[in-house]
Amino acid sequence: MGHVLVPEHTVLTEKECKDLLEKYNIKPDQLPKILNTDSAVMSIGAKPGQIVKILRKSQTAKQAIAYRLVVEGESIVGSEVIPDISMDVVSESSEM
Amino acid sequence: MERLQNVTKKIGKLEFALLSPNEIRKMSATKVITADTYDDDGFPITMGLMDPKLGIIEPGLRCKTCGLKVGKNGCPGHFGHIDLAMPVVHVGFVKTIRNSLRATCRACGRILLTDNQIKEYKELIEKHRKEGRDTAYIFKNIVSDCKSSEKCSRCTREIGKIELDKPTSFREKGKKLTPSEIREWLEKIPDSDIPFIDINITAARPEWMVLTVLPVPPVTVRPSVTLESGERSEDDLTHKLVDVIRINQRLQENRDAGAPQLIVEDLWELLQYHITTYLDNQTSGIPPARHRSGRPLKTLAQRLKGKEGRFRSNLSGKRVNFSARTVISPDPNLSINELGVPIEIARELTVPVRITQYNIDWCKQLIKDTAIAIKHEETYIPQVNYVKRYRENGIEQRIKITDKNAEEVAEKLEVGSIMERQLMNGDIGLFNRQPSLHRMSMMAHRIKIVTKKTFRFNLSVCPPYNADYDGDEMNLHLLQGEEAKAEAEILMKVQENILSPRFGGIIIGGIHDHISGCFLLTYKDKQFSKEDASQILSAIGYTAKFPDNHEENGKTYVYGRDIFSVLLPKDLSIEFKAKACFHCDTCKAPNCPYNTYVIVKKGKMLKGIIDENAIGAFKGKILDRIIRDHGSDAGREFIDTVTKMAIASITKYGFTTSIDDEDIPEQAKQQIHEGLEKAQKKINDLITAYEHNELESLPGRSLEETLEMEIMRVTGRTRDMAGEIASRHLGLNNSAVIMAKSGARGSMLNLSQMSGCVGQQAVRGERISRGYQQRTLPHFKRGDLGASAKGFVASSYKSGLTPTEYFFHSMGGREGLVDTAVRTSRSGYMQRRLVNALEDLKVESDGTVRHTSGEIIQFMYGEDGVDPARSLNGDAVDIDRIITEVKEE
Repeated sequence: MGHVLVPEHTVLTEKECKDLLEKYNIKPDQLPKILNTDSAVMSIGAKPGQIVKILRKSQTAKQAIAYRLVVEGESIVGSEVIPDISMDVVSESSEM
Repeated sequence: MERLQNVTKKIGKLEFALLSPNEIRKMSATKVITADTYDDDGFPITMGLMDPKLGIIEPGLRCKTCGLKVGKNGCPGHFGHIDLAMPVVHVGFVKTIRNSLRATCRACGRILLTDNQIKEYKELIEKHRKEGRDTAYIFKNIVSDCKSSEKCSRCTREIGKIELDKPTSFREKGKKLTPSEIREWLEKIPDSDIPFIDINITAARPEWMVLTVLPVPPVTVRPSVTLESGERSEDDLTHKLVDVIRINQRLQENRDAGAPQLIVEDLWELLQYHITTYLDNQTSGIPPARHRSGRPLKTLAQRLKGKEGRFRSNLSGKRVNFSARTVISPDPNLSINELGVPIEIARELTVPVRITQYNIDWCKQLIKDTAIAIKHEETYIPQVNYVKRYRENGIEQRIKITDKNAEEVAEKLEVGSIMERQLMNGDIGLFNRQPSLHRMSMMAHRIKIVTKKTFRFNLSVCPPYNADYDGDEMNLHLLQGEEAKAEAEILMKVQENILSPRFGGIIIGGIHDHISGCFLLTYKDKQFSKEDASQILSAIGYTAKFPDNHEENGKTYVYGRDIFSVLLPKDLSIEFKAKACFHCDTCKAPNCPYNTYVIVKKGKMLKGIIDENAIGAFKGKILDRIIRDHGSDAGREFIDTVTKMAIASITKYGFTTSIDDEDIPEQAKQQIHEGLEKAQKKINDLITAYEHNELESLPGRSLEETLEMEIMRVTGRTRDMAGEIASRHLGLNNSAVIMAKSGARGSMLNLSQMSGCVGQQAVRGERISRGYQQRTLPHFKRGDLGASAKGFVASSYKSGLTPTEYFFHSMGGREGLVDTAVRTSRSGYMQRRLVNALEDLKVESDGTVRHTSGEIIQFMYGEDGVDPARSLNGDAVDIDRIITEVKEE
């Protein structure tokens, strides 16, 4: 964190979460998701179920706010999550 | 039933499952054993492929299974089945079969995971399902875990490597597995292990992926066609099924007769081939089954797949009623909102009108007039084709209006009926040109009935449709409901789409002659005699005060810019550089010596030239300002009048261009010739320097690259030089130059290529280098690096190209054509994928962008919530303008 290219992540408090959900009239699972294994999430110590607020630089609006629900992902260490790209690409592009 | 038609229902979920052999037999109306379709008398053979139990296609006959006839609410057709002598792999499931074999033990059928792993994976899968996340990768991991185990932990059997030979055969440890063996193996997998190979046990058993029974689709799915000669022509599917049955029969006979293993296996493989192609005739690795004529058969997968398949062609896209298509042509007298529709089309298309107490008299009159209109075909009077009445019991009654019953129907007309009326002036329709690449490709127009057989619209509306009049055809769709009409009027009318959401600027404006016309009206302080000015003004129907004038030599003159000012709103103040601007090093802005700086104060044009930057499509600043400040009605009005005025002034001036516009004096030709020779010498010097290794290479480049770059630079400069000399002799009294300078059409580069020198031809951004060994054409010496040997065209289009130059020029031109062809197909496919990904996103009233399911995609549309169509080239506000306005106050 603190690098120019990493947008600022903060964990929302319970109250802020409630206000946010009320403001948009949504349930938490309607928010965009972020894995708890995401480097930025790990560095601020957000836990699954919490909501993080992300302040990004925006071309159009200078600053844009986004909220994401932290969800549990498998730990990166020890599991291969490398998709078998070669096969999928061939079958999909054949649609042309 | 009828009354329930309008109830909307929501689909809760869809489940895909496999048909089990038992199910196939149960739903089968008959077993099919004969490969023939009809006997000699033309009757379908029982237990043949056209058995009447499978449904009927000839009207009048009754189905032998359900007893219904053909038609709506008739016999839907019934499946039959073929019992296969030996099992066969289903091509559509080979990958799942491979994974199932890899993940299980051949001896005990259990999954090759330890109990611990089973527990872990079970939890992981459940968690993912609960959170609605993709589980595909988990199953990939399971298979790769299983693949790496060497022995089954339960029965200690060694695990062999399973390989899939595309398309349908499997090997275990290099030994071929027959479909029977595969089926036995899959049968052994216990129900409890099936969730781990990504199969839903309520939907399928893995062994069902190896076929033992083949369902035969109803005849309604593969109807045979009787040709005029009385011959029957069968559907491709029937042809393929004939093959399947024939081979199946032979296989059975041979096997039962105890034929050698080799023959049985050959037939078995043939049966596998036929069933594979029956399911998908484009399976890679096997030759497609062909018709006698050599055309590949269209089998099951081909019916569904791709652009011409069931989904994209029949389900996502459908043919519509109330539409028309014809060639387009221009009509500068129509407003941009209008569309000229030929009488022939107007007579064919109808609009429904609901009769109310408010319009009943008008409707009655229209129906009565129908009788007259039918008798007098030559003048267009809209007729009423039908009147629809609704009786109390909800039954609809349609009465056709003829000249005889018109009077009677009109008298009996009741409120609540609907009449189908032919087109009238002022009806609204959606006008469209393919490819529909953006939303302005389909806009609403007011219809105006015209004679002759083409659709006609204002030339200013060509850019959004990307239309021209070289034979383009366009479509018209008539709106049938009041809501639709209102919505089209508010959102889709041409005048509402002058501002494009693509770049936040105008997309509709003056083109070609409109720009030349305005240029001629305003350049060089042009003035018109009072008579000419009056004529121009009368062309736009101007009736207010005559513009400012002055006297010279006893005659009254009016400045062109004052005539133009007549169109401007009284509060318009704007300053900008015209297209004709010379981009001098130091801009003397308000006092431009070339008068290319436009100044408008309080609706009066004081200085400058009106050209593309003022009124042109995509660029016109004045037009842009009028639309933003005064709304779309004023914008429409401005476009309509400015184009008319431009046409009037260009007509007054007389405007033409021809080949002698590109004539330059002999002395200029000589000058260009000298320049070319100088360049030739320079290039030769460079080449000699290179050959003597005296050339100094540019940083990061090889010697060859340096030479190429230097030569390219010289040739580029030479062309510019020729263009510069040529343009010195092409002044503003030249029509081609007027068009180029005002931005109406063409550029100065085009002109300098015509009269000066065409310049270096390039393929892939380099000088032309391909062809024969070490040379481009046999006209040159091997290894010649000179200008003319590498595609430099020293001639001009006017003087004509030498044969070698012509050849090089064609090479460059061909590259351009290929590029466009490749680009359109690529970008089309990219667009398709984008649309598929974004089609159901929507901006909600709270400014968020959400998916149909309510998930938030973006918290504020575009992060700033600005509608790009209302933005100023993407920005929410024009700060500079606000500042200047505040300063002025």
